[in-house]
Amino acid sequence: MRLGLDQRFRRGVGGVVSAALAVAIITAVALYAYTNMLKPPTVSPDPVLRVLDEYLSNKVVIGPMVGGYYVLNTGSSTVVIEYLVLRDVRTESITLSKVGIDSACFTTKTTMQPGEMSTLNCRDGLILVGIVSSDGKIFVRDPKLTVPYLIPRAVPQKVLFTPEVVSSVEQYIESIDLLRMNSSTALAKLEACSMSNVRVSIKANASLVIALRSPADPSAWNILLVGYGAYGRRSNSWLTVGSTCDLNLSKAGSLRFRIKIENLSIVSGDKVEVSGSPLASPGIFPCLVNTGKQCWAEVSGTAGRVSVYVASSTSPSANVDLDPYYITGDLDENGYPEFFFVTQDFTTGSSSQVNDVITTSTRTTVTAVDSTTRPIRLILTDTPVNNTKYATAVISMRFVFWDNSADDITDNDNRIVLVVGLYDPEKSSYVYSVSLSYFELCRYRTVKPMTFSYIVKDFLLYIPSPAEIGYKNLYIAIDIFDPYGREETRNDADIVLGIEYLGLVLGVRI
Amino acid sequence: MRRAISTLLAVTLIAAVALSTFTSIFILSQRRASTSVAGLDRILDYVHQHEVTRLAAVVLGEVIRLKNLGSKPVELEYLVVLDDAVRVIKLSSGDPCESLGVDAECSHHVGRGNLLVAITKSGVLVFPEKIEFEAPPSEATVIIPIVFSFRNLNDLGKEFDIDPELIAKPYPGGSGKRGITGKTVLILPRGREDEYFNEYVTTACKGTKDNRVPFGVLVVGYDPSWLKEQLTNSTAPPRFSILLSGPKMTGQEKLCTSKEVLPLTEQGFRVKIHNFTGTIRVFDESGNVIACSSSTPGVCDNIASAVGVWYYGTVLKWSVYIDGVASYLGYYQRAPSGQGQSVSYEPYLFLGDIDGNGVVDIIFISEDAHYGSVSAINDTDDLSDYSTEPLKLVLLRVGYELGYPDGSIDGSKYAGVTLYLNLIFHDNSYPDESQLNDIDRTDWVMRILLVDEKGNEYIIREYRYQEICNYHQTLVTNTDRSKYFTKVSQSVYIPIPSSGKYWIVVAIQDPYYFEKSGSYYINDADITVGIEIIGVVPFMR
Repeated sequence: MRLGLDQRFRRGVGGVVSAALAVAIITAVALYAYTNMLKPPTVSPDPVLRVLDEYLSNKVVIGPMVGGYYVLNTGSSTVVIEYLVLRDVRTESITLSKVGIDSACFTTKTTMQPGEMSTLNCRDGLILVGIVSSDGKIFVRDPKLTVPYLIPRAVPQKVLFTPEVVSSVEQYIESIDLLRMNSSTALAKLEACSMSNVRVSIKANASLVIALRSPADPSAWNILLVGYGAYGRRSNSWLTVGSTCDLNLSKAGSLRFRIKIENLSIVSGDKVEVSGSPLASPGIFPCLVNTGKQCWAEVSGTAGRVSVYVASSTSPSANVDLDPYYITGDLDENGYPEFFFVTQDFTTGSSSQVNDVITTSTRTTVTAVDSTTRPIRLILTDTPVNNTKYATAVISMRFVFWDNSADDITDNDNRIVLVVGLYDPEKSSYVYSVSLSYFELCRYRTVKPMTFSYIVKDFLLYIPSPAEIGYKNLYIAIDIFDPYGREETRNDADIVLGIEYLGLVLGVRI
Repeated sequence: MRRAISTLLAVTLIAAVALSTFTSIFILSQRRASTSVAGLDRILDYVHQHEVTRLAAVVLGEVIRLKNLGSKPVELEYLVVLDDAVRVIKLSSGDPCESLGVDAECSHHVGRGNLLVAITKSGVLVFPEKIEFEAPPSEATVIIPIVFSFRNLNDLGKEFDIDPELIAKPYPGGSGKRGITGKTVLILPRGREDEYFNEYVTTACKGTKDNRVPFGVLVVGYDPSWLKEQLTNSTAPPRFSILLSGPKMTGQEKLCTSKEVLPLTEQGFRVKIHNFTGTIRVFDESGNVIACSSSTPGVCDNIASAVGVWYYGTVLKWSVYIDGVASYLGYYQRAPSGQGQSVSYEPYLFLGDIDGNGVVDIIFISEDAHYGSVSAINDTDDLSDYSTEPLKLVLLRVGYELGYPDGSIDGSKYAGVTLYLNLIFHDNSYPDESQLNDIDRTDWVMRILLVDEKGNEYIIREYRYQEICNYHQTLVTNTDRSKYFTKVSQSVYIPIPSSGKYWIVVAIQDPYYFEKSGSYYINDADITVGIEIIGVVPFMR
């Protein structure tokens, strides 16, 4: 019985245990089955979120800009450009180009942090359609986003004729050492009186004085004194340069002289005087033209350079240096110095009278009609103009002009005085130019009294495309002429031409 | 038994605990999953909103213009601007930027600073795509070049929307009956036109004395088709376009083709030769060659180029030799105009590069042979032409380049444009000193017009004879040094009204026939007006 009970108990326990086990197993299986059966899509959201995050944070804007395209990372994660999608306009096909050394486009940057911009410069005929990033995302140019042009807030103009350029203008004049002027009374340099960094003192009769602020140092003077050696009211004309040149200018320059003084600094005791008044500001003093008499000029100080030119006879020559015919400096004190080209010496004339002529005290007739033998060509080499990037240019020029022909177009034929253009240094010629001729210029001036009124003109220049002239870096250049060398009493104008401002506006090639 | 029961209870409890643990774990995991799914939904919705909402931002000074580029209307609530610090601007109700339909635009004054982000009412952050982001390296601007590189007047007419009747060939009894008149008009008789490839054209006809003919006016330019071909074939020998005009001749002067002899006689004539390959020589009174141009290298040596305009050949006893092949020859003859009959501008227009700089010039030339003072009709009464209506060229290119297929300029977007024109002008009043007495009625030869959608014309700038005559020299005998004209650069600012569409038109005319004043003949100029290139700078509002 005991055993029976015990056995029953054991059996009972065994039954319970097995039942419990069965329940547990069934529950476990059922739970497993249930959980597995009803489990929602168990894709973990994390990778999705990461992709979405990247997707949202990857943003690139592609647009055209001067000479190429910009690719701007406007998103918040790094974008690496791997391929460029390009349209070839010649073959009308779409090509894929991997960025790198052999790529069809030059790319400034392939890895762009948020906010960074890369610029692309593609070969001619290739248009950027889109880019493919390293993680395979494609960004295309949105046609809706393609505005025709990127317009800056103001039109950018580059100043070409800066004080730096004007103060070293010799470096910009093509073959200046070979340039020669044609003159009816030849000037020759008086080497003994032409020196650098030297004390100078002048007391002289002058027919024309041009006194300007030096472009290199506005406190110093650049002066061109033109005249002939008449005996003055007070004394002879004298020139002293350094300790070795002491010249009776009335004698040595009796026919004609030009003295160019550059970077003259004056200290107390020194002077720059015309007709007895010290100069407070720069000016042009057309003594002989306006008053019929030369005026008395006194100049003293320490000069950077003194160049003295005199005529020893009345014989003509086509071999005169350009040096005495130009002077640089600021006339109107606006900070933009002028380049003055001056062939005027003495008087005015007309179609029946030779211009620029005087009779000296020794009754010698001196004709000072000067002209250029070749253009004075100023090539502004500091600013190359790339014809792949630019299609048009506008040059704004401020200048003054005067000539000595009382009856204008009756005295002179219509000849070119000024050319503005785009110059090809490889071919030594203009690829496009416009010009100003005498018939227009003479309308802007009064002959007597000689006054100066500034003219501003804009010149449109066409820039030939690479297809027309090849890939070029062109320069803005100007040619200056005095085209009048005298034909009896006609075509004998002498001029004063001052070029002050040259501004360049470039138009993009689209 | 009791133990058995307690064991059973314990097992049941263990099972219950295990079950509830399992169940709670299960429920928890379920909840987590459903939370994730709901979050994902919202993210997807945000992404969708974000993707379909697109704004373009154009910065104009302190004002930002937003344009809805997306596919759904956008309701904006905030603009976030980075100044020195981040500023959040809440858009007031009624602000134009509050609600933007598809493709709609609005402007908002944000002051200094950069628009970083716009926030919609539903909370979506929209990063505006800045079209003019940082206005990249501003070393250049937009100057739209307008050139006249067209092979023929039909193509030119399409580009500039010229009234076709004004440039149609003046066949007798046919089209081309409006534009120019005078005592006689130039017509193109049937059979006097050859359109062949490589037709032989020469002044050296069989049996002629010196192989050349006198001319009144000679225009020689590089042919537009050659300029175009040169772009792909730089070694192509030059081809020329030639216009020859003259007064009555003796009948001995001839131009020959392979098939026929064209005597330059009758009442005056014009000859147009296009696409000419060969040699052109200009001779002076003594028979010296003063200018020469040829398709064959070496033929002309160092003689000055014949490319250009040559006036008063018959007066100065100059003549021209032409010998080569051409693809077009038109021989126009003067015929009495009768009662007010006019012809088109076609015989008076020339397309070609007359200064050798590679750019085609368009030239209107009513001068034929003579110059004159107050004591004569400048071009003689037979040859004095004048316009009955102006020739108008619509500068559609400006609008095309600004993105308007109808060539218009949108006044609401553009405040104005500046035109830079490179022009030539010449007339036949001589001497130049008294041209203002000879031509004393002030009238215009070129006009810049603004035209609105209704066709109303507004005169912006007139180039009147009395201004433009100052730039030329009528008679030049020393052609290598002195110039009839040089290119005149002009700039014209055109203000554009603030709404509506506008077109810029260049109009050209010869306003002078002749008037008798006592014993004087005045207002009798014939003229040459040419345009080489126009540059257009648009100014945004």
